[in-house]
Amino acid sequence: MASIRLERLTKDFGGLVAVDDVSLTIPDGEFVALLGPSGCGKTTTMNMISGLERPTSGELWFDDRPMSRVPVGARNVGFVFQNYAIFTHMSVYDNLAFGLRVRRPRPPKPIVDEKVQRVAGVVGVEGLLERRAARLSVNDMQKVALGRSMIVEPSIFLLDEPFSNLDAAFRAYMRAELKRIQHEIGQTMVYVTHDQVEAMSMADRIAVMNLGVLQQFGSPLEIYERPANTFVAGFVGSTRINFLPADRVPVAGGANGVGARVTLGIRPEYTRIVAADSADATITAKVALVEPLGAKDVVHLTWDGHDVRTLGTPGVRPRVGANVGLAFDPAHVLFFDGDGEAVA
Amino acid sequence: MSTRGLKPAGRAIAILVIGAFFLFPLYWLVTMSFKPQDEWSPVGGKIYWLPGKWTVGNFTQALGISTPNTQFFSAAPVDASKPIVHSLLAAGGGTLLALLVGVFAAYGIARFRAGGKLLPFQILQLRMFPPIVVIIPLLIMFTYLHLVDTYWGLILVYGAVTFPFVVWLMRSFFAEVPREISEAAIVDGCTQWGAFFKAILPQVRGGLAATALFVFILNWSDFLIALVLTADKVVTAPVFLNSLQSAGAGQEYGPQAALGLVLVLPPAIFGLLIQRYLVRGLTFGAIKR
Amino acid sequence: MAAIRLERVTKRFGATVALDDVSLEIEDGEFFAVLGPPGAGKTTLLRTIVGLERPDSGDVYADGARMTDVYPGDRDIAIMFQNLALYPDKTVFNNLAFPLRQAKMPKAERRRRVEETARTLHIEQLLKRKPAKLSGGERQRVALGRALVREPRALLLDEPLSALDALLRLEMRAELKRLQRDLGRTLVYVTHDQVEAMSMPDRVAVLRSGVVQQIGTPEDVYHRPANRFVATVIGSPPMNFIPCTVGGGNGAVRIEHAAFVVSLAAGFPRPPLQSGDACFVGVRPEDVHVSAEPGEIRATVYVTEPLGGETVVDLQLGDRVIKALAPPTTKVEPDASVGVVLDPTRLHLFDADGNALLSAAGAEGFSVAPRPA
Repeated sequence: MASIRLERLTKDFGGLVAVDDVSLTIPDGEFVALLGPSGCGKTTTMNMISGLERPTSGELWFDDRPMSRVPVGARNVGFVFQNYAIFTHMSVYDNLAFGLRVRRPRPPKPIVDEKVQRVAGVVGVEGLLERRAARLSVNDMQKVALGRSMIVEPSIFLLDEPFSNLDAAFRAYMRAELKRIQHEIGQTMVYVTHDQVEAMSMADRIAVMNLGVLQQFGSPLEIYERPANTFVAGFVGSTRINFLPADRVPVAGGANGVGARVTLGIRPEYTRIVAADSADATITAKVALVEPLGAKDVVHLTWDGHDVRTLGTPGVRPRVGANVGLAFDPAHVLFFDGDGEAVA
Repeated sequence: MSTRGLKPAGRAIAILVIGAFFLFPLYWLVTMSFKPQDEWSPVGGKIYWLPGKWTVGNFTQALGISTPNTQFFSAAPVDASKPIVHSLLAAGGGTLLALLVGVFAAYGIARFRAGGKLLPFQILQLRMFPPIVVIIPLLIMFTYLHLVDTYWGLILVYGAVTFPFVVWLMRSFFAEVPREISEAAIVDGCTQWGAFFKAILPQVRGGLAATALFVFILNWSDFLIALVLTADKVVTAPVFLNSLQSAGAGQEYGPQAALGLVLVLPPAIFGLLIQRYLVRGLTFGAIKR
Repeated sequence: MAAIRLERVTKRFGATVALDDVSLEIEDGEFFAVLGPPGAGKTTLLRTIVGLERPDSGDVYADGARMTDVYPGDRDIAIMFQNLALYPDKTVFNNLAFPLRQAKMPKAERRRRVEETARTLHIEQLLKRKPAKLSGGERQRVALGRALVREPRALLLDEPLSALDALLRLEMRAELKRLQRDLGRTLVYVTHDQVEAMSMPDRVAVLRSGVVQQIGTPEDVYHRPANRFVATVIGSPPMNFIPCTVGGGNGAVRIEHAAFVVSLAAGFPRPPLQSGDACFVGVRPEDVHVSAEPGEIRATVYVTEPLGGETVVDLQLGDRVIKALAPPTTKVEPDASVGVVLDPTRLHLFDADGNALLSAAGAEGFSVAPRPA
């Protein structure tokens, strides 16, 4: 168990600043996701936490110990990588026990056995202990990889996009499992991903990064409802947020285009299709395209040259080319200034 | 040879010494080729580290260009103009032959797995023994075929002997080109041949240039094969240079040095001409998708 | 007349069967998707249609004519490869012009076509550049352009969007659909992404290990999946499968679970099940509702996953964990006991082997009653 504190952490690869002055605190026992597109610095940040990279400047603390001089092996961190490094020639049991058996002095057999059984239960491979790792499905291999890093009871878990190679159905399953496991064992976890669904569903708090700079650090709800800037607002959310010029949209009660309110942001699920002449309609637009996604439809409208997305009411599919009104929920309208920063 | 264990000063000295050791012959060659006759030998104990009087007389003589200022007289003046031409023809022809056959073979192996697992290895085997092993049987065969002392004979042998290199090098270049590029060309309407010339070959320009240069250098500098298979009608430059080791012309250090320097020129010029293709070619095999 | 027809096509690579007795028909002007996991045979299918692979048995037809022995360049079918395969040494203009050159089109006509295609795809300003100097999205368009410029009878796309980042992918999806509609071309689109397979095509074929599982409109495949595989592969989060047993006698069919019972209304077709058989009840997360009412099916909360626009609630129901989609404002704690409602108009019944027996698909036929603990 340990809390992690990053203070002005920077990594400069001779001209390319991968991580730029990042500071944040992860309390003990929290699940934090580092979220961002490729090249944003999330993996480099995690490598500094693990010790695989030395920071160019800034400091890093586990509880109150400064860690930047401590070598990787001495940091007591557990890793789970994308390419689940398990030993294919060994059985599942031996894979799980490996981390314990290499310790000196070697723990006695009953202790090893008890721990292996417990971890196997937690990750869900109890029935597979005798099987050779090479003969496992890809999904089970990932569970074993998770178990292997858990069994040595590290103070901190680091996971680098561990599920990106797995099929979608299994990813959905593992998200719930991992969250539940973290909740039960209470270990601090740092999870790196570019998939906002993963970050949102599992993390207690999310650190959104772009081009090496920390954009926002907050709970999923905060990131979603009160994004700090247009990048965060645009990156999070299964259906992309709409950005419109604020001075062209008459939102009741708002002073648009005034002062810093340059861009208006509204998420598709906070808009609603109404009749074109309805009093509730904030704007009127033409239906350009309907994308059926099974559980819901995404309707694309064209307004003032912009593509505006809204969610369709199930069962009611608007005709392409029809003129409709779109009602904005004023409680969820966001404003951003000329630099993309959120304003009141 | 590694200089890892030494401190920077020691390392610098070591590099200087080793460098000097390897570069000395080249340095001597260059300076000798510009020295006038009276500076060739250490007469009176004086060694000319640099030419006292820079002169191009050696070059003019070596190339058979006679000028009023020709300084040297000997029973057999050194005139290398013909041997240089013979070398160009033989080496150039051999290189072309090797490329012609080797490039298509390499593509067949890389793209269509021609010859299965055995053929590529068999081709490589051709280079696993030194040519000297087969040079006498070859001479006998060539005598029957009346190919001794002809251009075609040399071209054939040079082509055959360097063909495995072409296959070996070009195969890896071709393997780097994604097969979808030739498939795209086929779907766009090309035949297999069309796809090869229009879509694949342009991708391996660098590799082709590097291979051509490498093979040309091999052929150009060959001594043994030319020595055995030619007599007096076809005389390549290395053979000619060797023939100067005689009492008379053998003393003409200056022209010999000049000739040696001149012989470096064709590969160097060739390299300069294709150098913009070379940069890409030098990273062959490095990237595997 | 079908634009493309495959009749009992089988293709083997050594011991692996890549395509197993595949038959399908693609209509003229249709946007047709093929969905399947990696290794399903999707790429082999495309390559067989365009002619880069020859079927071991079966035939390929285009507009009624047998194409099985016809050279790829003569089939008038264009393909866009997954890795694009642009000609790196040629400018964008020459990449686009290449197929027209092969067809021996006169220079002026070539130029006109290339410029027109470039305008449609918004790449006119890139014509003098080489592929190395283009962004990922721009390269995509050039590859698309090279296929379109021939005005082929059909266009095959092999996972064209999988290499793009999330934002670009969303844009390109909408744009591709618009493009297909405006140009009216027959499009065969291969993907492993179920969102693409749902949102873009007129019809979709689900492929698994070389065998066609189901062909239908996205709605058909979503609401009336033919088997468990299809039901899992489409829809995110995937469908829940709850193991049950068949009970009841007197001609009435009851599907029994520890926590609930499903009965069939009189007018509903009888599934070929016998008392004691094992079966599965399938229900999608959006049709599972968390309720605070008493008297509903009881379950405990396993974990919650807030996604912003909605929250996924994982519920422990008996020995299974099922997922439910709930409004974003839902606040429940792990280990809390809650009520669960399964929407009877959206239930599915599968047999023990995973074949679909019944799908409510909106009709009133099932009724669900909780069982007291």
